Amino acid sequence: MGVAKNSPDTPLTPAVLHILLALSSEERHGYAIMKQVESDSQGKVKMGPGTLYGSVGRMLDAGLIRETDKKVDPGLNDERRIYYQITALGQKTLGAELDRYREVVAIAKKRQVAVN
Amino acid sequence: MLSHQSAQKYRSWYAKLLRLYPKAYHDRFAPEMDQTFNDLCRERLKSGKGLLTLALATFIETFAAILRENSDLLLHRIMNRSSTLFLRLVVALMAIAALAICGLGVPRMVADEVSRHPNGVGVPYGIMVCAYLLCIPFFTALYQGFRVLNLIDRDKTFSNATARSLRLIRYCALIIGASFFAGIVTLRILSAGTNEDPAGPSMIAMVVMFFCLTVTAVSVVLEKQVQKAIDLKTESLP
Repeated sequence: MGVAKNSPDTPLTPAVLHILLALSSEERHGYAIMKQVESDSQGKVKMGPGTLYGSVGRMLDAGLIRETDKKVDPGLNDERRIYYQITALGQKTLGAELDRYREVVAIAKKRQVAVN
Repeated sequence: MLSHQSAQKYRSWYAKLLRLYPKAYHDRFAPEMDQTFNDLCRERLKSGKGLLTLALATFIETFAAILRENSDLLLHRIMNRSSTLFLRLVVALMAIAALAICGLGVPRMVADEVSRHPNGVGVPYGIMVCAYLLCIPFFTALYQGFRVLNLIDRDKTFSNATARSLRLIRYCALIIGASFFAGIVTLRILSAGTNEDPAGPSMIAMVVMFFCLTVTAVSVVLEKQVQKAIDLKTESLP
């Protein structure tokens, strides 16, 4: 639920949007995604492992992200981890979602001007 | 050192909790989730804080996700008609078990109690009346369960009727759970100061309450998914 297969026009759930945003700049493993989401939202969104991997599973199935090879995080320097990477469809979906947000903000601004 | 020991303990509990996920999901994500939980514990210990709050919050969050994944799977499975037969059998068995308990078990228990305490006949009869009253929500829930299965077979899973039936099942489970809770409290009050130990009945009541809570949680999640699908269907209409 929440991620329609191969359809960039379907609105995203907040968790999926945050994960796509976190992966838009570079590939990350699960824990790094959680930390990035927390920092992107200035600590307002704290995603637990249940929500994170539930969304990751649906996003993998929908083709928005893909797994890359297992490797060691130089910052954590311990076990090998699965990294996730945004796909072309994921980029397109994120772009479409951000456009929707821009449109909503534009409408809100316009309304405010009209009210004032 | 002690903190590392408790981190190990929480990690092993978390691994056990992850086993409640559907098998395919567990095989796919459990190692990573375990790794992530370990990372969270390590970060917490580094900042000099205790692990209890983190463990509690993560366990609750993950348990909610487990319920969601299992109900998604259940919904997916019952979309295949063959599996509704198995669920019908489960519902039928529950009905037969309830009839057996009410028809044979409860009267026998009351007779035993009355013969053991001839002066205090009020309580067993009270329990008997309550048990028969609770049959109303129980059989209503079972009937609604059958209705949902019929709707699935008629390709009407995502309809308002299904959502209504799931809601009724939830109310029934809540009524039964609340009644058992009230029952425990009453029993504890009545047995206070006497030699009777209500540990056995209390345990049974706790199990029933846990079952009712699980049914309530699952029906809430299923109803939400059904409602979402109905909304999507309505939105896509021209």
